[in-house]
Amino acid sequence: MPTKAKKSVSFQASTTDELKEETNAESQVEIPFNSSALLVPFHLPVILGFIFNGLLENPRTLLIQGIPTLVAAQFGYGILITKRFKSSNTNSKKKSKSSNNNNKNNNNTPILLVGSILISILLSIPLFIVIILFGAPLYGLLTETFLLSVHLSLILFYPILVSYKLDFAQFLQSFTPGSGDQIYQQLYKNQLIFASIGGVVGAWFGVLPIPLDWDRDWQQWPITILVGGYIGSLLGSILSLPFSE
Amino acid sequence: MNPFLYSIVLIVHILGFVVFLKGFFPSKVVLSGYSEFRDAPQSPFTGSNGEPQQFNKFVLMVVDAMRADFLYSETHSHMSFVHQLISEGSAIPYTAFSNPPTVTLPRLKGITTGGTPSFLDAILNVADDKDSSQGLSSQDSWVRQFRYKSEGKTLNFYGDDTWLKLFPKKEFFSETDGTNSFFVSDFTEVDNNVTRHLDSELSQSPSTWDGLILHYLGLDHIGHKGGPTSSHMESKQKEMDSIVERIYNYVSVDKEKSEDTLFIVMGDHGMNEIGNHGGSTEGETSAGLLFISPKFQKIKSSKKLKAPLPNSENYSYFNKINQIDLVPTLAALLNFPIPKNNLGVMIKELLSLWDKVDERNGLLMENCYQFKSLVDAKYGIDLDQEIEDSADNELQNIKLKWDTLKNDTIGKNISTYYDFLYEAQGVLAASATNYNYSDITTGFILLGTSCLIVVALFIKYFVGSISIYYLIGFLSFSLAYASHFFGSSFIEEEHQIWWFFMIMSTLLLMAYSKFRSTPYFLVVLVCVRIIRTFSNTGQKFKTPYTLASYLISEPSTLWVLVILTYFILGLSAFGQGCFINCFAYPNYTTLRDRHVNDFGPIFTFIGVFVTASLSLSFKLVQSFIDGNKIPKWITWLLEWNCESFGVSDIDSIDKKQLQAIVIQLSKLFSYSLLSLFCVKLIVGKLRGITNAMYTDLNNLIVIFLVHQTRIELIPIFIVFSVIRFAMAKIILHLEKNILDELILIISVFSLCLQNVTFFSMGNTNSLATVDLSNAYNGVESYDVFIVGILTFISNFAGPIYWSLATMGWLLETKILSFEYNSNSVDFVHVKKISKQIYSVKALIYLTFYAVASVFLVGSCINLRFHLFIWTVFSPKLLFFASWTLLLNCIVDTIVIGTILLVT
Repeated sequence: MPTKAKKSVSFQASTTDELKEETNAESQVEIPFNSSALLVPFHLPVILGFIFNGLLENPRTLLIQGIPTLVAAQFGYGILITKRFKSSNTNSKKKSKSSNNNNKNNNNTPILLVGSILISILLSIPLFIVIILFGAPLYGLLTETFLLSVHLSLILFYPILVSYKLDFAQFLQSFTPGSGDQIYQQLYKNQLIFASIGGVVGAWFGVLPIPLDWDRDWQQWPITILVGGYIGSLLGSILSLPFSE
Repeated sequence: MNPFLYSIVLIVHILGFVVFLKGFFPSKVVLSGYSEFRDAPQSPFTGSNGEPQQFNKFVLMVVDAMRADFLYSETHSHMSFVHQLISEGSAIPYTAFSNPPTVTLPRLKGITTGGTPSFLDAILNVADDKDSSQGLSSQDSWVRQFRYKSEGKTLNFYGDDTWLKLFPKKEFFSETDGTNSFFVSDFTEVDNNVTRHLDSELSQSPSTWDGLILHYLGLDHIGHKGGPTSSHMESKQKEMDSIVERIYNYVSVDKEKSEDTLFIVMGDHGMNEIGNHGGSTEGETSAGLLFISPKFQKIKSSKKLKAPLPNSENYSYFNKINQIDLVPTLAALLNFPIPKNNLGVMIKELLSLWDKVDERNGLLMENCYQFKSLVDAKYGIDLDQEIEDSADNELQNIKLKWDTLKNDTIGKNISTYYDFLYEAQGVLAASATNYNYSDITTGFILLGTSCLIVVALFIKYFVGSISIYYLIGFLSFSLAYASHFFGSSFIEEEHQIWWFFMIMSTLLLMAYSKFRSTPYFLVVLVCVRIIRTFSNTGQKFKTPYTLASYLISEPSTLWVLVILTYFILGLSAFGQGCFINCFAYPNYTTLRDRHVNDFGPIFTFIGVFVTASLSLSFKLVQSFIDGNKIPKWITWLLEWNCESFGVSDIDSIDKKQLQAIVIQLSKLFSYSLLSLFCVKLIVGKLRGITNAMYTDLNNLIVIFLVHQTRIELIPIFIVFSVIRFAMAKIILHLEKNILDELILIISVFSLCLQNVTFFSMGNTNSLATVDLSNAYNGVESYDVFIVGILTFISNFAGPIYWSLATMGWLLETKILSFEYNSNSVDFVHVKKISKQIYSVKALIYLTFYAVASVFLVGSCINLRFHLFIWTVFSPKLLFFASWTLLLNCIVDTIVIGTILLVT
């Protein structure tokens, strides 16, 4: 489901303009960070654990309570990502701007992270509409669905936003070049994108247990989807590791 | 693909399925003849010294769907008089287990004959009306025993006409008034129709009847419409309570008579949390049952009972009995032989009415002997003789108990009798599920063979012609769908699976089109989402917030949308295809007058719009009869309709007259639609204007589908039309390099759409939701064939729509997308390609259904002793039979094939 990611990122294209740096339009496609076991979002299952430490009777409060925790954790995760940035792309970048670039990176990190979080939260609105279109209940559970989309948005979009420094053009490049095979390679070599894809797939298949007649609390909307998103994201990230350079 | 080979596989598939069904639902063997007392003419029920029998007369008041808690619960019951009767000991309350299927016809059979119904009865409840094989005139029942007692008794009956199907009036009843139970939205009329007879029936003293049977339907209708907590429930219960009071007062005015008449109040079944029934949940199987007479005050145990009781989670109040226990108990109380096929056991508490131990033992013994004859018949033995050691365990146990009973002459304990009775009951009741294993195996082998062949054909055809991913994708889709049959909750919530596939296939199609027509895909997604909101889907949850229920509560909006639907569909029938061209004069220059040249539009306009208006009028009057609100601004049409049938005052109109009008309207509509269909076909053929013929005929059929749809669901056809148009646009702009790939993807998409709409139009995999409200449109006298077809069409209107639309998408894409000037050529004009499309699509569908059927049948065989086999798997078998036999074989293959052939 790369479509979802693409469509939603286009939403923030204009926002990006102010924040983004002048360096872009490189013809060479490159993943802007080094994949590493460090970048596996191990915090996600921990947060999930925190969330479900409470009672399951009211998913709404749990979802609300989970958001600050998730935001904080993702913020930390964002720092981790910026630390793994390829050392300002030494070999390919124009030398004159190289140092400049480095400076900006350092200066912009807090803005980048905060901006990414805000944009992720904004992106939860289109994501919300998509989830509704895909069949989320319309009556009575709209709040839950929206909270779900905030969670998913923070998990799915935020790492990508940070890693591409809110640079949409550069992000698009991951998908544009040459033959089809390369696109797929880009997808699974890019640990963060593959984590997002894993999250989407996880959320997608998270709906399966809902109709079963086990009558458990966790079968309530939207818990299985949330769990699917979290776990899928983690698995995607791990699965991508062997392929990354 | 070889059409001959395909037909053989299809026939083997159908044959396999039918043979399997025959083995899986064997018709039950019952003993014929009517029973007599063991020591005839001496009755064990009156005592040896000629004491009088317990009761001479009875009143049986059946309240449809009277669940136990409606009678006894503190919170759910508003029947204060009943509570008072229980508390003073005049009524003995029970929670009576109602054996599934909990539908009226099988339950009435159980209540009257004492047998356990076969699953087929549940279907016949839906299908039969005057089918004589269902009558109980040749089968022993307490109604028969009572009616033909030596004296010859008089029985009167008022209420649900299901009784009259079972017990024809001329054989059983003196006075009757049957009420049709299919107008579910009517809460009051059905009951007033019964109650109004009480005036005359309860006025004379002594009464003119010996037995009075009343069957009230209103409570069940309220349940179906609004669930057990509906706002109408309280007033309906109070109404029932007042009727109980009225009858009780009548039967107990003076002491003589009160000792004479037994009054029974009971539900034939219960209802589940959402007010439906047919399954086996505790709510559905827990019916209430009350024996009422002042005489019962002398039974000590009944003194201690108090009502109402605190609410019970599992609907269990007071003593639990089996509903069929009523049968031998009635026999004892009213003094007639126990019906031959009875599996009920006499109710313990009521035995205290007989003072002497000997008498009680005597009547239990009668019950035992009656069971013995059933056991003898089942095993072909005589219990009194020695049996072989090789006999199976069950029989050994029964024999043991029987011997104890026979030999233990002194100080016989009541429990000895009950030991035998319950043991025998268990074994005999199980015989209702005697599978015919040879048929089952044969059916399974045939299905398996046809599945293997069709999958081989499928692979052989598609390998090389399409990308291997699509091939694997389709087969795994079929397998994924088929494997859901192993989970009962997946069957109950099948719509979720289809919704999942629906979104997947839309996205797949979107990717396949390389995102070329994204706006149209958005339209499709939004429309599909709207379809999903139309009705409650699945059996687990029910919300009152569906589009359909909103429309019912807003009649004005509803009727605007309904008129809009008819308008849009009429317009597409009028203008989309080549209807006008068919009837336009050829361009003879001799015709000077230009207006004469316009005969085509005029004829088409009149034909199509008169037909559509007839259907609209029909829907309006039907809706009025059903008691739905008609908005003020449209009542003129209603009045005009009635006036044209010679009825001037609409408020005082009789239901019967309205029924006649509705039948006439529906007939008129059907005839005019049929003639349009034929005229179009013949004229088009004769003049060689076959362009867009398929679309034209398709559009006409759609009007009939609307005609067969419930009023609140009619606006869904607007959404259908939008999807049909958007998809045609999408398909028009698809690359058609690999035709087989296109057919495969469109077929899968269409399958998903068929199923999603099927479930969104209020259907489930349970018999409880089979919609009969349009099964009798235009039918005067019952005809199983016509009513069957109408039932199928009214329940499968959505799937049929998409069957037709899919062929249109592939064959007449330009017409359906209104792009007449497009450069591409519609496939319908290339005979070779249209043949290929038809046959490849048939192959794809058959592959899907063949794989699914093997899994479903395998799952049913595997789970044949499962708790849910009769409530989940068997209904699914029948629904699946409708899908594969009726929809795939008849509609997709035969009907559409014929249409393509003649156009």
